[in-house]
Amino acid sequence: MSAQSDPKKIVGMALTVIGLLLLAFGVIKGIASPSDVDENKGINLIGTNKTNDLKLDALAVIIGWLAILIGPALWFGETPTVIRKAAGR
Amino acid sequence: MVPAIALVAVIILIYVAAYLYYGKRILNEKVVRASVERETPAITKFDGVDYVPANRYVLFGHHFASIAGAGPIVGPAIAMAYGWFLPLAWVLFGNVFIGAVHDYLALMASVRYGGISIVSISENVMGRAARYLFLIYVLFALILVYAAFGSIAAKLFSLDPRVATLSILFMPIALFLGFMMYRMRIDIRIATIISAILVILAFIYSYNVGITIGQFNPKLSPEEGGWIAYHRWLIIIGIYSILAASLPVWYLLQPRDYANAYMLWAGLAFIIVGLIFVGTRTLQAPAYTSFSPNIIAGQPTPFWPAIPLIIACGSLSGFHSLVASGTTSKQLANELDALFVGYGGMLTEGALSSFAVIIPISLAWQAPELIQMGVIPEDKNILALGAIQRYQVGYGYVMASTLDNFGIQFATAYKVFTLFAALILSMYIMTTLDTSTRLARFTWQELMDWIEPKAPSLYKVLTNKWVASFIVVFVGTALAYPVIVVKTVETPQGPVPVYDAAFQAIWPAFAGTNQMLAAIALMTSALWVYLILKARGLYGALIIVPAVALWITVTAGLAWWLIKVAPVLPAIQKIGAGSMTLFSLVLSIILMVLFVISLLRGRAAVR
Repeated sequence: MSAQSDPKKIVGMALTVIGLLLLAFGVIKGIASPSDVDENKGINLIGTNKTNDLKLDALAVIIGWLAILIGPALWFGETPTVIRKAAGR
Repeated sequence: MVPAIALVAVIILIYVAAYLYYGKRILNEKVVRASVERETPAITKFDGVDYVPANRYVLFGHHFASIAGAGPIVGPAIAMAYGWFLPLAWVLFGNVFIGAVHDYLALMASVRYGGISIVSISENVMGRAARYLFLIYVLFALILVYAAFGSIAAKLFSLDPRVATLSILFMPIALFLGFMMYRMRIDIRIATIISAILVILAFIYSYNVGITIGQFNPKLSPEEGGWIAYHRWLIIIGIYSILAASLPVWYLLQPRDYANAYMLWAGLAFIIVGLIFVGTRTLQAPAYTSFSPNIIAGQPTPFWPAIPLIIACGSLSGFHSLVASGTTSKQLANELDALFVGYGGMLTEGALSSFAVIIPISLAWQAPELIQMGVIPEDKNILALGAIQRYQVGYGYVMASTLDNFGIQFATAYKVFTLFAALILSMYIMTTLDTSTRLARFTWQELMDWIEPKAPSLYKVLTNKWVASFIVVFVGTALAYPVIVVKTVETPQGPVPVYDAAFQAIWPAFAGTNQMLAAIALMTSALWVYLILKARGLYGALIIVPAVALWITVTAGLAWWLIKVAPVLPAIQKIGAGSMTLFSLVLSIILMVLFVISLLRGRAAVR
């Protein structure tokens, strides 16, 4: 681990952990205490379709999702050894 | 009256024969002469980001999920207005003799040229001018792909929040799959089983919980607040696409598309089993309705030359050549995998159109159960529904009828499998979005190469992967953002506008540009086969004749669209889609001239 890459790894780790927590919060809230219910489809809703307010649970899921997409890439960084080996590197 | 099972058997036989004889014996062994000895660019140019060798099944997953999109589903569903025979014939013929050949040759040509795109290959066979013209054309086509599919995805998420939930939950599962395969080095079979269980759990969750980010009432105008959710999703999808297209392929793209392929296999396996169970039933749709039913913009739409503008990916698609020579060729570990990935991937896509769209819709045509449930209006047939709905209803109907035999309530099974059908569609659209962004980034970077010697710093900024992805997504989102009035309906209260998402305006331009791209890419591949591989006689003709025939058909189709359809469209479509189509036509004619000159030069050189 080079000194230069440390901040990148720390940001990646933070994004991953925060992302997972946010996603878990939204997903659990969707079952345990949904913001709204869609009567036509008979389903719980994360967020609401009755107003244009961005509910906290919907925001948590979306921000968590995007954070998880990029977090581990920064955290673990370099190409895995197994792929390098496959390419003869 | 044709029993469904007989048709299924004939289609499978055609595909097996095409793969083993036309694909393997002729293309793979006689024309391209693929060899395990020749190292691929994934090995020779390995960089850990774009050039990364992949397992053939993983790569098949990526390639298939990227090329599938909404095309093999929406196109055949629209074309059912001709009856089932003509769309099926076009899918099978186009698939075997044009689409799969086009995909395989684009992949192999790129591999032989070190992983460069089909566009850059055109420079080698048609000269530098052709390359820049082709690059502009491709960039334009990819932005249209992004705009059309981004618009469809945003509308799908807004309409059914459950689809948004699973699409979001699927990504972390795919990342975890990649982590298990590449970091934890867990056996690929065990990793696959674990992620399959997680996907099933996510499906069950999504079946009960949807995610929504505002109001969506397509009957209202954007000013009245009816399209807030659509616009928000469009922006979120844009951020996703920039991130996903800039990350290394091994990180998200490979595991996500590998998992996607399992969704496809599951979807195809379910429907084939379903078709076996209900196979003794005869197709209820007419085999043939008319050569020119009212389809595009409500105008009489002749099967020839308009069919390529309707059925794209299920039969052939130019976008595939960009995927094949863009991301797939850079991940091919072995030349022998190309047949399975390139030719096989395209046949699978045709199978999806045939088994999951054309035959189910034909069976569900006027099913009493669907009329009773209020899905199909009384005294009408399935054509009364929109294209995506036809596919969902057909799929759900076949599966529910099958499970009915096992005591599972028709309505419950129907609800589960119509959602499952929507999810398959959504997975493909999301993949197409980030792949098209990645490919557009490559194209943009290639297009800017003339700046490098003159202003290296500017070149570095313009071709930075984040900057390049942002430019593409920004333009695509801007095109997809407007909500348009597609028609006005007379009511007792006066005329009422009907609103729809921008893909309604973009689709004809996207379809025409895409099919013309296929013709140009196939002509480029044909020149490569003729001039470089020296495949002459019957083998050369097998590729050159379909390429020219396709070019003539698409040119006639676009001209028909400009003359017959464009004048009746609203101004935004007439000007927007019309100018794009005209631009496509002019470029394609110039490229055709370059193709003929190169071919004649090649022949002269041989003599």
